Amino acid sequence: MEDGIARMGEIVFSNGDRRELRALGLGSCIGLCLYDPLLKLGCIAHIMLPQARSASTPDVGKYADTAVPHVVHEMTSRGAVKSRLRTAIVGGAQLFSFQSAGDKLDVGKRNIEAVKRHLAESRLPLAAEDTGGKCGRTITLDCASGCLTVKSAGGADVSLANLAS
Amino acid sequence: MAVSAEIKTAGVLSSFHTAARSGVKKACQAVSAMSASALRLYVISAGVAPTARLAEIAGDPEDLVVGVYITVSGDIPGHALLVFPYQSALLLTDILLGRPPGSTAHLDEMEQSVIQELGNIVTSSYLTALSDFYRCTLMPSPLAVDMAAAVIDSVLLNTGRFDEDTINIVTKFTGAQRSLRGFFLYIPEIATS
Repeated sequence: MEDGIARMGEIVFSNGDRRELRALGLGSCIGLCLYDPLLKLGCIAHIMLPQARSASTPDVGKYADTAVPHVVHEMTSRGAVKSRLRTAIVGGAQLFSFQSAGDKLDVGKRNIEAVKRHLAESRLPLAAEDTGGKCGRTITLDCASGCLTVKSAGGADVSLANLAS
Repeated sequence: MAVSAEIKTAGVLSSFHTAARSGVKKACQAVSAMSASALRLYVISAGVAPTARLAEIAGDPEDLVVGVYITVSGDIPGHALLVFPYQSALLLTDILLGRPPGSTAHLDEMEQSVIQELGNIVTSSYLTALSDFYRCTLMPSPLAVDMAAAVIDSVLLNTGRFDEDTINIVTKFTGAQRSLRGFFLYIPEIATS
């Protein structure tokens, strides 16, 4: 966390020294990015599953239903204004598929739907997304510029959106 | 019979440690028998890893790896994952197909099926070590060639329910050629009752 990397179930925030946030090798997980362009304040939550088994889970970053309200609360408590927040989601891929399993195993798809639903409930429109598919992704949010880049296995960083604009 | 929640007791965990080591040893013997050439695999570590550290087992989370994911139903239901760094997977197919080292540059259909078969052999040998009398059905997925962290998280999340108590049995191994390495992960399904 100290290195600005959100590992599975973790949430990282920018601060004075740490301007670049990352989540490495997102498979079925979702990288949820929130950014306040005025304060240049950002965060990444590395969400793993749609729903916590208990609402009182200590692992708020792991689940879509607990992570979304938590990051909104944390960002506003750090001075961000909700109406200014720009939001992006990346991930939710399905790397493995079984002929007989159908959609049952597609936790990536269920993660995407859950995060979108909770963002809508928090009235946060999506500024950008790169979701689904069969490939893992690494994301980097440069909080100085608001630039969000996505990288696939063996590829280069590709700009997905500038959350400052 | 699914593995019960009592598995968390030290004694049972210890038996999983033992099984982890002997399972991959058995698998290595099976692989050696399968390939006339000298494919020898050696266990370098075996144990139970915390869920939070799984993504780091492969090394760099962004490293390109080849993963074979096999779901196991029957007496010892669970999720098996065999992972090789991409270069190791190329070398492995060279050995298994009797080609000179360095010949395989891509994993086409034939190379992929060889690695998938290796996944089946390792998993079934491993399960034999866990229990002498087991009946299991193995369902392999097509190979994934992707970032290490993405391959691991995809399997973890597909287990449906996992937390810090999830038992992740990890066995790392290497080949006689030091450049050949990989690991095998088995996550037994814990009975909900």
